[in-house]
Amino acid sequence: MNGFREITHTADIGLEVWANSYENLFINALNGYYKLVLSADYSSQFLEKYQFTENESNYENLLISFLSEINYLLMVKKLVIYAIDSIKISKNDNDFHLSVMGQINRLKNSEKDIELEIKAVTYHQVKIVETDGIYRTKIFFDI
Amino acid sequence: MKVLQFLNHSIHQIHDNLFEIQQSGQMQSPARVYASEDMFNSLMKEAEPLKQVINVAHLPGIQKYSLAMPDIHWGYGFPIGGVAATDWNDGVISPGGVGYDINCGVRLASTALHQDAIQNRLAKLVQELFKAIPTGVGSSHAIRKLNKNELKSALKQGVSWFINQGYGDQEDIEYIEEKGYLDWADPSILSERALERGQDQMGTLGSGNHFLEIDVVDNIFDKESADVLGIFENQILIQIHTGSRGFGYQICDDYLKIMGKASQKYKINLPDRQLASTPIQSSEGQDYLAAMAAAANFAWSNRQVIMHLANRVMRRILNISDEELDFKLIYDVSHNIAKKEIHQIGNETKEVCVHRKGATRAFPPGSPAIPKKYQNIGQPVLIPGDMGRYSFICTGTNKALDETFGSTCHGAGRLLSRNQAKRAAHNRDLFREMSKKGIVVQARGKGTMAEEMPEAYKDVANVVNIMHNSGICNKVARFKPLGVIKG
Repeated sequence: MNGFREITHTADIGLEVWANSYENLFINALNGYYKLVLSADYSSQFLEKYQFTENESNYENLLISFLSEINYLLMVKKLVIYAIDSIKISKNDNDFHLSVMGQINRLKNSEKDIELEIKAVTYHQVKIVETDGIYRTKIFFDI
Repeated sequence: MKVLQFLNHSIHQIHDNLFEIQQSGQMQSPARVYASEDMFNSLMKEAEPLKQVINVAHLPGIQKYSLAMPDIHWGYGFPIGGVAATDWNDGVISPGGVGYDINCGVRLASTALHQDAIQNRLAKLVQELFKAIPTGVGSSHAIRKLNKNELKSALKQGVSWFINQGYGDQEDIEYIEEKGYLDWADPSILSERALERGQDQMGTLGSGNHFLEIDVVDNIFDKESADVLGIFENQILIQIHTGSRGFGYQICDDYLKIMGKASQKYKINLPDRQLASTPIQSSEGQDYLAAMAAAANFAWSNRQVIMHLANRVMRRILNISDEELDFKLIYDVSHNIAKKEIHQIGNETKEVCVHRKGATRAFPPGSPAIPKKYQNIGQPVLIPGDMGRYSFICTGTNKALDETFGSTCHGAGRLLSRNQAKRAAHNRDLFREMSKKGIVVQARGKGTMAEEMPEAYKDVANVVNIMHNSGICNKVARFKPLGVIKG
């Protein structure tokens, strides 16, 4: 029960994402984002190990911060998170923490490989809802 | 008066093209939408844009109405086509009322050329403009990369910094909204990421609906105003639509995060996280305004540099002199911005923060904020359409000042989503279709032509006519595209 699908918006683009845990929800959102933006046959090469940590006041803000980081890396640095070695999401009172470790690759031909410019990951309608162990949310991207 | 119902809101039709959603619940003001009956019925079915107009009416300190122009569509926080003025002393500022592409706007320049002077060089012109002005995802390096100190100086001084570097003429300044700079810009508060993104993107168009067009004037509605603007039938114009690029997106991103926390700190409860706001007079509010102003200065400069690059290409390809081309800036307007302005609220003259998100300032004749040359006709308003039909130049009116804080529409508004457009474009040669209409198009992105095809947009004439018939702006001239470059 993990997946994502593109959803329509009059001017922009969105994703619906679902998974059996918060961690998988974040990974699916990452994969969905790359599916929207990168060409199917993009090529990249290993650059370095990647580590990202973030604290936010709720899961939704954590997800938007994570995707915003991914968007910055791709749009500005032309880098993709090629593999995730570990992802951990924890909650302590009102402090929500994300820790991601993985592998970062540089695109070989970013002009060809990036098919869509995403200005920003928005907070529009982002609400993670859990039903019967499945976490589900929508994410809209301003293009 | 016709009365309608939307969710639990009652709506009064004020006149043929104006609907008022009555204040109720936690709304701080009523909301008004300029639209024809057909458009308004569609909006009620679509629901989301109307909900957003209502949400905006919840902003603390909002004055008179939350407003929507007829090109309204679903945005983030504010709808696209939204206008709201908040009390400068007691109200809030919302980055959602400006948008990610801070000071996205339109610039129109005139030439002395008639259509026949460029017709047999059109394809070459488009090709060379496409080479000189970087387009597409992450486009960069139209001019040399600025170092951080240069960028900070440019952000502080706006367009004049680039004119001093040779990108245009001193007199251009007069024909740019706010003379091409907001003096409260403070580059010292910007994030490293924002500065990094600004260093190499000056003079670039970007992607999406941004464009540069070679247009020809095909219809003049108001000869007297057209004469003042220097516009005549069959004249070649250059139209540029772009904004502050990644630099502005980063600033919006940075401050939406800050505003989310500030909303909680100041106990501002709003129906949508994307409307996150803070008191204008708070440190967070003042910082956002200073950062937003830096992005606004970047965007005006970006359009200035692009215009200069286009001027150079035209002279070179057409092999004509400066005098023969006579390239002159008609006007440059912003349609994503928040600014301090003075407006009449009832019997009171008040300082307010006018948010225009996908809406254009439309000040009337006699306004001190507009160029001397245009004092008798009002501020030029530039309203682009899609790449296959036409765009309009209008002028602002006193009625706009009375009803909409001196604001009008900004474009056609999308009709089809990206995927709907792609489906509609399937198996069609859109370049050929455009060519048959006499329009040469060059685009960078694979899907750009499909996503930006004319049918993907509403007919801008319908939008402009609503504002013209409502007395909010006056139509002066229409121009249609001959050459288009896109991201």
